Amino acid sequence: MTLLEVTVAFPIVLVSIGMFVQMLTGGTGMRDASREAGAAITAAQTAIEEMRNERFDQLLPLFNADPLDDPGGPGTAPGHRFRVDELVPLDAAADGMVGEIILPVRNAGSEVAPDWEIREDLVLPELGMPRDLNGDAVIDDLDHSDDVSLLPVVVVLRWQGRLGEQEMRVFTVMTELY
Amino acid sequence: MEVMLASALMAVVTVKVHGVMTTANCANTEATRRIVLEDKARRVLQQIAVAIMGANRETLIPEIASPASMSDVRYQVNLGVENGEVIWGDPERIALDEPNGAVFWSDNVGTATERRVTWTRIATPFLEGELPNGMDDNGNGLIDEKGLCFEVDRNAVRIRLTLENVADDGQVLTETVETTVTCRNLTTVAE
Amino acid sequence: MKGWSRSKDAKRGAALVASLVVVTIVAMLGAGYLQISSSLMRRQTHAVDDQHAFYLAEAGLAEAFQAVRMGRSGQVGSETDPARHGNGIVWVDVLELEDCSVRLDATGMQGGGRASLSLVVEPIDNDLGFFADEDLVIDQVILVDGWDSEEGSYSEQAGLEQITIDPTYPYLHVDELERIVFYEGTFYRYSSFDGTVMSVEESASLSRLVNLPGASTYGVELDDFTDESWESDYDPGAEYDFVKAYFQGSPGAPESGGGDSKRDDDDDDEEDDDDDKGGYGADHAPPAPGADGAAPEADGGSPSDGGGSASPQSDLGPTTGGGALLGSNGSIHFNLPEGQSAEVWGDVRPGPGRSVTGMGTDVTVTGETEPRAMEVELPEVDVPVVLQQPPVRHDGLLPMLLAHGSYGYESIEVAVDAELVVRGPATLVVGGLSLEPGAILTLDTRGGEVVLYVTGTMDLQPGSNVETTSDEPDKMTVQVSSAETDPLVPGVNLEATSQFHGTIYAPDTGVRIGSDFEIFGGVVAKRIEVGAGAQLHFDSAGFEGSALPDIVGWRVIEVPPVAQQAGDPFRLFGVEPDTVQALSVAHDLGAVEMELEFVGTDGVERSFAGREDQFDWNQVERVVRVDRTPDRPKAEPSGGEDPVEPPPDEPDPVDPIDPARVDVAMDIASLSGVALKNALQAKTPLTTGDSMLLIDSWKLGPKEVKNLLVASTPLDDAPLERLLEAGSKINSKELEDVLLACTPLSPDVLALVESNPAGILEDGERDKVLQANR
Repeated sequence: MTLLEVTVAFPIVLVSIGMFVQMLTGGTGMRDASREAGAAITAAQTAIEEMRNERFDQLLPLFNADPLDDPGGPGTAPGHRFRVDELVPLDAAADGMVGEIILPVRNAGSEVAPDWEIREDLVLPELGMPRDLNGDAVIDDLDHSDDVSLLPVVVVLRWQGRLGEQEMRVFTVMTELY
Repeated sequence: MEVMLASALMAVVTVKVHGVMTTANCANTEATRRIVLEDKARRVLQQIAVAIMGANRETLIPEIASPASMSDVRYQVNLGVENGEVIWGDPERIALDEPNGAVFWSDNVGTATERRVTWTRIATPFLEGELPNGMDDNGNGLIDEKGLCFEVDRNAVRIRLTLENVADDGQVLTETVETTVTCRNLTTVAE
Repeated sequence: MKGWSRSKDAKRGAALVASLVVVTIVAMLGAGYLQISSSLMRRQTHAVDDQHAFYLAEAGLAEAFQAVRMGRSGQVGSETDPARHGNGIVWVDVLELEDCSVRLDATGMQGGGRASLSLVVEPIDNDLGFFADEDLVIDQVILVDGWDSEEGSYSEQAGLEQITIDPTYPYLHVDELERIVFYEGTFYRYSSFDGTVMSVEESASLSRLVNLPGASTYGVELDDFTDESWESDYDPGAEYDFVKAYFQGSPGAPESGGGDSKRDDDDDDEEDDDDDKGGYGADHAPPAPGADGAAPEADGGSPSDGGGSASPQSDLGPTTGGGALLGSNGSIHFNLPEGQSAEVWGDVRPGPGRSVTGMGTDVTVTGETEPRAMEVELPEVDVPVVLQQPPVRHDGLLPMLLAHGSYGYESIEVAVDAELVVRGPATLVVGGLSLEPGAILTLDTRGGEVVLYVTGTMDLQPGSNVETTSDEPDKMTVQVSSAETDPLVPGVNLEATSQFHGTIYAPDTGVRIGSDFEIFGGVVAKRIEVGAGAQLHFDSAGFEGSALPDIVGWRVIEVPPVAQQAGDPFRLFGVEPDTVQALSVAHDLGAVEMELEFVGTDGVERSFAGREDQFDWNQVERVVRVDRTPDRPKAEPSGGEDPVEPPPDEPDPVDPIDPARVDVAMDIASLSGVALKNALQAKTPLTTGDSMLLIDSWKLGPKEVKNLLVASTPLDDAPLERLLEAGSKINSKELEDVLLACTPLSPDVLALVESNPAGILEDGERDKVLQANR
């Protein structure tokens, strides 16, 4: 054994250990990412199921962005954003929320006096919009808050994950069943 | 001299390598145990969730809301439709067997033919952070809830589950998961 | 020295060798960790994808349910031509069962996730209108027509022009619910104007309420001022306090007089001679009964246009001139006394094989009288469970208010001059409901829907009042679950005075509709009795009483074979995501025969009859009337749905064999050796149930079993536990391979590896498995 050999062997060992640590870190990152995904899908499931537990005609006031139209009084409804304890919100999320419920709605009012409408003519491809929402097979430019019978829903979760910013979208459609 | 120096260097490197590997191994083992535990918890949670989604709401018992909760639900599931009538199965049960830490599903409850399937054997007696003291210790709105607990809100059931894994070295890992599901079958039981 | 030298030579390169050993160990460890991580990732990703797929399948069910509600078949995409939604694909197969209920099987696929859900629904004919389960006998004066509440008020569609009311006029009063109180003796539809100035107190007993939406302009059905002195004083050019424009067909023409046909029995009324003039007078003679060509909507299809265009005239009051739907599961008999008439401005549809009889000159039916193709099943009322409070008799001065929520009473009696207000959204479940003369029931639906469930009888006595604050019938539903015991005593007696906007559903009891109970909506009942002069207006848009298909049952079912293959669904189907049809346009319209009347984007009213896939919906501005007849595949006569699936992870899912897995079961039962191995290999990855069948079969050798199970990873705990607990035709080495392929193992499986109950694992293999999982 000579110093030369050790000098040659040393970097080899170091490089291999470096690679090992990298693999370990990468593996751990992957596992953390899948853990986060598990938490995210469970949170999305909870959000969708809580929507299902409400009367269909109350979904808009309960889950839109307007706290003033909440059926139980201003600010009493869950709203369109929700927290997920296991996930770290993005820095950009000023309200500290991870989840968001997206509905085919448009604010026809102002920020101060919002007037949320369910519209068939919105162009939201991820919701399958524009499309018929009240069962008359016609796509029009009217507010269907009162007669909507089919509601495409996307639950979006955005969080600061171990591997950077992460996003999950869960797609479903709800209808007036009862 | 050179050999001694080289050997010493190699020894140092070897010791360091061993140290790094051991530390990494420990960290990795714990991370793996945790994720396996969480994976297990979510799987059991989903098994329970799917069972409750298919349950007949009218037959779901007990009807109980916060701050009380139960670690035992009974229900009947839709087995199919014949001649326009839903065939409802025999009463089924999902419960926590506290002494054994087992979450189990069973049917033909209370009869000689009762079948029981254990979904996990590592559930905790009480939900994470909860003590049997008549108070809400973990701040979830429930009092003295068990390691598996159900809370009913109209057609929805909130399910919470805590699993615990004890390693060879005595280290305890705990994982709590929860979700809400709604019963899809809101019809009454056929006569 | 030479030996030393040789020894030194021998040690030359030792550091490199040692470093290589370290590198090798590190590489192996790294590979092991990576394998564990990727295996974990796979399991988690699979679980996440399963949930995505579940909600895609739910989306498919919602889409199909909506389709059935619309009268379409419910087939959405297919397994050969699925639909895309979000990041996955979905399709719904439909099957009509023997009892005419419809089974919808939805399959969702995203990534490696798969889910199949089944929903059985009973489609209800949306167009029941006024429908009796038993024979329907019309032996009194009656007017039946229809309108579409989505297109505006009944008044507008009946061609009644709006009037402007000055709320300050002393004989009109705006109450706290923003309703106008009209005083009967002074000024009201079909009433005479007696010219007497009455104080509010004096006229209070004659007052009636008409809904007003805050604004002072409102289309009230105010169509007839028969006071001659008023007529003579009327100046068409002047603006009056309370009247600006005036009724249909003859704006500003009070001299046309007006019939009091609704109140023919008011013999003491000085205006009764109007009858002699022929309803609205000679200028507005009714069409010849039964003469199709005489009526503008002679096909009976749709209500006339609103906006004051000419509408047909009637002996019995203003009408939209179309849209009526009078139906029965039995026959429909017109049996009118001499000199009395019945007008149905639309269809009269008896039950299958039945007919409409008594169509003399005194009966006008402008639409079809063909029998229905199918008998209509009237599903039971599902009464929600609401805590029942003791019986209540309300006789206080202040109204009894039930606001926003669910209420239950064993019975409610509203005494003379007392008022009950139900403010929506609300659900009220009562054992019995009765209104005494003078009592008022106000159903305030401005904040949301009111659903009234009656489990006993409903008795709205003559002289009582029922007010609905909204003119949208879908906001108010009455459902009666009781069964009548005496056919002579209907369970629902509607003798109150009302312009009731809502629907009434009483499948097991009769409904008597008094002459003052004017209904805007629909009634479905076991039997319908109609009082003289009754007016029934069917809302073709808002018929809530049975518009929603009834849900029979929901359950998770086995994923169909085509979806059991692992992998990305778009790759499996060999399609690019962008080329797959969207869920909303994947309905099977070729299976739907449609009759449609619509207003095109050019404003012209047109009609269409044919397969819906041949129709371009882009040319439609609005639908006037649509009638769909879906063609669904029928279940085999042996019928029913696939019975019974085992519960999740049932201990013995192979007994009984699930029909959906029968092909694997058949393979195992009928094949052996290489043939069996090849057959099962083609079906990998095996489902949990299939894996259990394989393990329990003991028909293949250890290596084959191992290969099939490894090809089916990640495996659930159930087959692994079965291998460890019950054994199989598998050896220690193969079992180790299977367990390593499924590493990391769950704590439950690891516990079984440690205890090794079946003794298959030898110590060496067991240690390796445990080591790999530490």
